[in-house]
Amino acid sequence: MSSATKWLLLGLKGVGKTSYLAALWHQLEAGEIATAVTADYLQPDRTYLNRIRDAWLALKEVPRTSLRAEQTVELHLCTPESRIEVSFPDPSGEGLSQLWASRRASASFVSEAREAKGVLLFVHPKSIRFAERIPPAIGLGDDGATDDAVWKPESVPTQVQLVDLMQIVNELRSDDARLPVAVIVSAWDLVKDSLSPEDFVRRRLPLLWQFLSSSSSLHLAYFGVSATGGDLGEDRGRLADIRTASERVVVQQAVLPVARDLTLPLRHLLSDAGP
Amino acid sequence: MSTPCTRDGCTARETGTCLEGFASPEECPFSGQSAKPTEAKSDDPVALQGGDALTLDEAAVLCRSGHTKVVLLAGPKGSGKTTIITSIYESFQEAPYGGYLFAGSQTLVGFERRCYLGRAASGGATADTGRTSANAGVQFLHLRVGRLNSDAPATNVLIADVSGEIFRQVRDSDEAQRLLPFLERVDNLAIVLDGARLAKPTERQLPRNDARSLLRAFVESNRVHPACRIDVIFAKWDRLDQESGESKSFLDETRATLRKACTENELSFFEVAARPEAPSPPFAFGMATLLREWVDPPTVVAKPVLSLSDPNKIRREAERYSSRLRGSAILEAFDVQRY
Repeated sequence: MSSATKWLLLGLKGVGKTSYLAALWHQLEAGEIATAVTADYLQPDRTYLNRIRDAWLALKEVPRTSLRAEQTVELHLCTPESRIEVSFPDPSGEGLSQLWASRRASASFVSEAREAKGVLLFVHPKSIRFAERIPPAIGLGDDGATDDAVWKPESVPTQVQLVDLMQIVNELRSDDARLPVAVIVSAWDLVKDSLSPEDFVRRRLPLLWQFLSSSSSLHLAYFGVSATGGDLGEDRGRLADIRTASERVVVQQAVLPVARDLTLPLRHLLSDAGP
Repeated sequence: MSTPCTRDGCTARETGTCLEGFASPEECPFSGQSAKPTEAKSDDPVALQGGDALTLDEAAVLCRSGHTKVVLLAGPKGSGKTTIITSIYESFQEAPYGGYLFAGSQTLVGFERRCYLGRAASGGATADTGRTSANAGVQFLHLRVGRLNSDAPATNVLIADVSGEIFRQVRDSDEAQRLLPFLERVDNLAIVLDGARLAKPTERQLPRNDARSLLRAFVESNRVHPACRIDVIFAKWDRLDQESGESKSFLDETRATLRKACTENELSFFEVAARPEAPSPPFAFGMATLLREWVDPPTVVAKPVLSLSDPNKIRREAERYSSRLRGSAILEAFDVQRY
């Protein structure tokens, strides 16, 4: 395991990291559709992945990763160019929020960040906290506000937390090479505007987009992903009718036609990061 | 005694079953409190960079890391210094600003603390900015910005957030200048005048005089670098009567007064409304121009060579040079490349 290439899954609570892993594992293991990356042989321990995959197959909510249940996923991947063993923790989004608020990280996170050779950064359209300013109050002048309100870290906008998480990872990394980052907008089926995934991030998380775009140390790609393919309530019937489970998913990159291949973000992490 | 768990979806209080699987509420780190460091793992937590405003030493380290501009906003308490700083940060949260991309900040926590009273999350009815405590000493907020559509390296902007109380002391006493040990390194010294007070005939003399006294105290300290740009900021510009001839005349006289107080440095005037009281002008009015002044100031035509016929000027230049030599230890800690 210690020789495996380390990747990081980053994203706050409830943004779909585990759902993605569940659906990804199914596509890799079942081989139902052609994928850019394949798993050429099984890793020794598949308990966790099979558990979350079973929930995904049964059109159930994939269990949220709790702080006590953080798992490390290992995959043996294969592309036309290479074979590679990768490992990445499936972290609790709550844990990453706590990391930001407390400014303390577990030693294992620090170790993983130091060795990280790729990042999957998740955002969810329904889980974005915005910086809502108090509107101008005409006529109140300087009265009405007090200094009594105590700042709450959990009130911080989503994009600020994500920028800082990326800054922390950048700071901890021991490698100077450009870091491949796949930005994944999950629940892409909820995004009804005709936007590319990057345009979505640029409009809804502009601070994050600016930070990522201006960083010469990151090699970026944006993906819109729906690991479930729709709402498990409203779309249950339609999803159940799809006979090949791998074809439930939706993956969009830039303005390319919609694909089904959840390994496309992994392909980006495995690609040459360039100069 | 059990205390309520704050985790979303946890029904431990009702059912006794903990969402996280802890055997008792006492074991659960969320019981009765908001998020705190988890110790669910056996490995010890590692402290990360704090994210709050930088100390002088931390700012010096950052200066050594690359191209850095140092800005000092000076003015009495309540004049709007901190709101000016936070309005730039808040503007970047919406889009690239002033021709720049946000490229990072080591003080995101510091910014968020200062923005909080202006956000709906604070529960306030009107927007406010917390007062900068004199006890906090000199702190710096950090922005890293890159030019839009450019491959040029990003620029660090360190903005000193200093209590108005310190500037009152600086205005009153040369001794107080020691409270600003980085003064020689400042690229932009921004003197802030409170537009809300300028708008009131019974109060307007005070901000004008404060600005003039403060500017004079800085200039005559011989610690302001000749290349340091002086930015006079009329803050809360929305409070001033834009149509009144009397108001315009007073402001013109104020500009003339301040120009007389500083003839050696490049001096410019800016009108800003960082957080207007009405929907118009827009939020952060005038701040984009100010940001460009700090990051990419216009090229300055060289000032005339010192005249040998003016012994007073020769004496002042000599004192300024020796003062900079005395401050060289500070400069060495604080400076790699000035520009």
